[in-house]
Amino acid sequence: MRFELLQPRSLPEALEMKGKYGDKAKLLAGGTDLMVLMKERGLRTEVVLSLRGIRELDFIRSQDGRGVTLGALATHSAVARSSIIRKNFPDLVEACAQVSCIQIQNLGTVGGNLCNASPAADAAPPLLVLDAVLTLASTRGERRVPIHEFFLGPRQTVLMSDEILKEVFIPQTADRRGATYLKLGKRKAMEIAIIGIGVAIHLNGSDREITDCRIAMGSVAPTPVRARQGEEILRGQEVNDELIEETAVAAAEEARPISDVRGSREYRLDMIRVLCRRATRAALARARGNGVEG
Amino acid sequence: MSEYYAVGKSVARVDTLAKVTGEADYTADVMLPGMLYGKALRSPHAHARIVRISTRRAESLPGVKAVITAKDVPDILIGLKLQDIPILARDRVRFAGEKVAAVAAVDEETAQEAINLIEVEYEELPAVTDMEEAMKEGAVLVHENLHTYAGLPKPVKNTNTMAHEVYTKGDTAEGFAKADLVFEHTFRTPIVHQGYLEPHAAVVEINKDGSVTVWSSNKSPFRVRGLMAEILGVPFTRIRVIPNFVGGDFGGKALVIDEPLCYYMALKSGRPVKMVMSRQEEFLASSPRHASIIHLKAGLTKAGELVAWQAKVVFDSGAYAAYKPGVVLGGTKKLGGVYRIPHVRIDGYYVYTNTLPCGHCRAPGDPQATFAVECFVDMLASQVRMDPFRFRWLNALDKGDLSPTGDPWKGINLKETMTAAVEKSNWGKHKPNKHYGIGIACAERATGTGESSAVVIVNDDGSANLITGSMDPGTGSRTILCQIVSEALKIPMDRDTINEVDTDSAPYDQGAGAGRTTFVAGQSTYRAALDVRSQLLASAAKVLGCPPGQAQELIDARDGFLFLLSDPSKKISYAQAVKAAGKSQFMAQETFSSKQMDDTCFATHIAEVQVDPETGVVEVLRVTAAHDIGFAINPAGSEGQIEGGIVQGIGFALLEELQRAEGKVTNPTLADYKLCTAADAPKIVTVLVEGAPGAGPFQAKAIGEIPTCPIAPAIANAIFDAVGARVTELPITGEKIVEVLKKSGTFDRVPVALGEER
Repeated sequence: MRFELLQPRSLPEALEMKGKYGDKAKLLAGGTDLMVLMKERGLRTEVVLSLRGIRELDFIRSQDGRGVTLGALATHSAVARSSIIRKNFPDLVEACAQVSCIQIQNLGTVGGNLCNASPAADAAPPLLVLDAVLTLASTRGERRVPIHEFFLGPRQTVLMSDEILKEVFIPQTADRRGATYLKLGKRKAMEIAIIGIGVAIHLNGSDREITDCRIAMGSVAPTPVRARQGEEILRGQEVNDELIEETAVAAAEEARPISDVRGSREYRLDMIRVLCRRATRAALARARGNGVEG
Repeated sequence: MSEYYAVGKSVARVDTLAKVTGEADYTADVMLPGMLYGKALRSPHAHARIVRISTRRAESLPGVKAVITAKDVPDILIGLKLQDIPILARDRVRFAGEKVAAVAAVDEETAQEAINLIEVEYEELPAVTDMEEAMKEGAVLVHENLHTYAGLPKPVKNTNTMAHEVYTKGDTAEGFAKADLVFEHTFRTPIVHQGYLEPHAAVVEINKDGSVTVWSSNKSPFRVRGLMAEILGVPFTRIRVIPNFVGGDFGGKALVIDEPLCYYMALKSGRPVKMVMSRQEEFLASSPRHASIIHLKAGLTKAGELVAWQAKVVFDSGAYAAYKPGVVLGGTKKLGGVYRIPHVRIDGYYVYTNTLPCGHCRAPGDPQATFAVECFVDMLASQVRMDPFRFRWLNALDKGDLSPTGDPWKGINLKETMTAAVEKSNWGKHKPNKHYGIGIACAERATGTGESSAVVIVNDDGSANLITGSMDPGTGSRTILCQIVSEALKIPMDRDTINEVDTDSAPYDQGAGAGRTTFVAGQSTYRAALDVRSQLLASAAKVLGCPPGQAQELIDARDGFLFLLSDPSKKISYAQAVKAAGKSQFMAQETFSSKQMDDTCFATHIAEVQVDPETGVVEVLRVTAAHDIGFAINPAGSEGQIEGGIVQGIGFALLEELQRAEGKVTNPTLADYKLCTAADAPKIVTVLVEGAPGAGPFQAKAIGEIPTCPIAPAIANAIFDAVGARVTELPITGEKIVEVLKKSGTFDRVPVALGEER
């Protein structure tokens, strides 16, 4: 296989190149998806544009209490180890720590995971729950896209042919937040989710009233999706088991899973209910455990 | 303390360092001057007529040195026994993945590019992809001319059933008439791949004199030599097969796959050719384990004694049977289990379908049969309200019993393994929680027979060489054979070297497989080494002044010295003994051949699991495995075989399946073909039950294959114990468990106390 390898040292340089080659240039960050596509699935490309030399994209930065920004080159391992992330977003830590295996986590980036736009992307449900905002850059300038508008379909996003994902901003959340990401697979490692569910619960001063509930699901539709009707059932309510069950049922009703080699549609629908229920309970327990000191 | 010098001790494998440092060369590492890389074009259709192939565009691609189709290779069918597979598809393709053309080019990428330029026009034909459909009258025939094929057990016309074998004992009609209770059930197992790390690879070079050198990822170099000579129509002496390290075999490395293609492309291009299969090609077209449908029927007395047993198995052979050394599989015979049953009938059917050809995989047919039998036995036990262990104990074969198919085995050690497994496991103890389960299963598999030769040399510096044609495909046999030489000659392991040499240099060896190496290669090695020892003793007798006839009684050998038993200070070294005889080396050659095995090996596994009743996810917590091994020459090696077999068996039980849609494999990647990972491996407690006389040196029995047999049913039985779900079709996925729980109305009913977080 012959292709041209471009190795820019800065983002402006990379944006120039991407502007010049457009769709002909495939972006390389961790390479954990691109290399498989090229070596095993017959993907041909004239140009590989490697972002790996752009140090300015490799960061995880706290934004003075407004939130956290992940550079496009932040790996799953770096995110899962980051003290800022661990303190605020345990759901994202759980997602990153369940991506395939340690080796892939060390190479693969959260940004790449999103841009690859697999319905099963582990990082997507927590970031959907967190209302993350993606900064897409090109020589024309930058635009900020809420993550729920980013995915269009399997391997399809709103990224234009001259754009590069620069960073992912995670806004700071309410103090009493509890969240988790649960992944169902057949084995303990090297798995592509049969179902992935992220749930966040926000509480007010009391332990009972849910001020906000957010649910996102992976491997249930052409893109990772929020379960907004399910969320609505719990929002503003005093929590109880019936409502949690109703939420789980509503989430399953919102899902549009297919049958494939990993599992049937019917099993997936059942498992959305099971995992949603569990994740909601776990998120609630975490929220209750979180004090108000922030 | 052991009376032995080198055997019976856990030693590091002699090849470990070479393997972990990367120094060990595998076939894909072979590099020759001017070597080309080959790739194959494969059929996308399960069944089609080849209307036209155009290779013009591929041939004109720069860097392409040879393109071959069926017209470039002999119009013959080949096979280990039943000869039914062409070298390249001729006029017809019978499975998706069958090779229709091949290209050799200066590099792999160019070869692949050229493959994409070959145009093939197919006319799709109706395909038969279901083995039960294939058995029906009027089904699409995979091979119309089957009755003319060489190696067919019994010529039959107009059928996809290439073989039907029957085992009977007593009279089942009479047996079932006597039974108080009769039960029957059907079990299914999928196609699973051997999962070896190293894919098939071959390199062929045609020498200046026209003779052929072959490097092959194969555990049986002499078989490769024989097949290549047969295809080329030349004497064996014109083919030289050079062994390399083999990165795992598990039964799948016994045949020629790309070797003939390499040869014909080497012939056309005048350059050596290498082919290495991709992982995807491995999943589409190698020789995995047969899928099976097994129907069992048992008659019992009210007291729980088995009186009659009827079994029927259908094995899906896929489009060809060429990859099997015997057309039929040993597993059929295992359908009577390890029980004392007076009336038995077993029917085994082997059926062609338009799907990938199946072959041998670690204990061919046994894991399928054992899964069905041992699950069924648990189901029978519950029908007569007996504990699964007690039910087995009541019916278990004991010393002196005839096997279910009427074989008079010596030394039946089944109950010893049952007792050992129970003692070391938590069987019969209090369940730690509601969804914990424990299950038991037993299995039997004999040591393999065959032929092997060895040459043992003691050099005049006192070191020793073992020259052998026996291959170690990763089993540890290389180490075992070195231990045997060390034991016979009483020299440290670092003083002897094993030389696995090419087919021009080594005496004949049938190849690894069937659990034969320690026995057959071990016996030939041991006998040759003992012969050399006698030569050393005879020479020493002269030097030390013993009557030659009494050398064996008066002289002993140890640590490279020969000394008088009456006065150990009177000694000479092995080197001196060789030199004293006026020689540069002592050498002996032994051939050992065995056709009949009259004892067998038993095993009992106990699996402990935790089942999530809401997702069906199974965690195997602990496996206790007791194996009737006779004598463990390298106990660590035996434990390794058991642990490996169990991990592979967990894959068979819970994860692995080559999924197919209309005959085509739909998950040909390691992402979606789920092998067990290290994270999924449970704690494994192995018990080596020694003492039963085995056929091998020092009474050793086989251990290579049986560990993979009882694990799947032990897990299935444990799952039933945990959540009451009896899944009769492998793999037992979470989805299937949930399905069974839903049918029984126990899914999603009971609130589950699993804690808030997982």
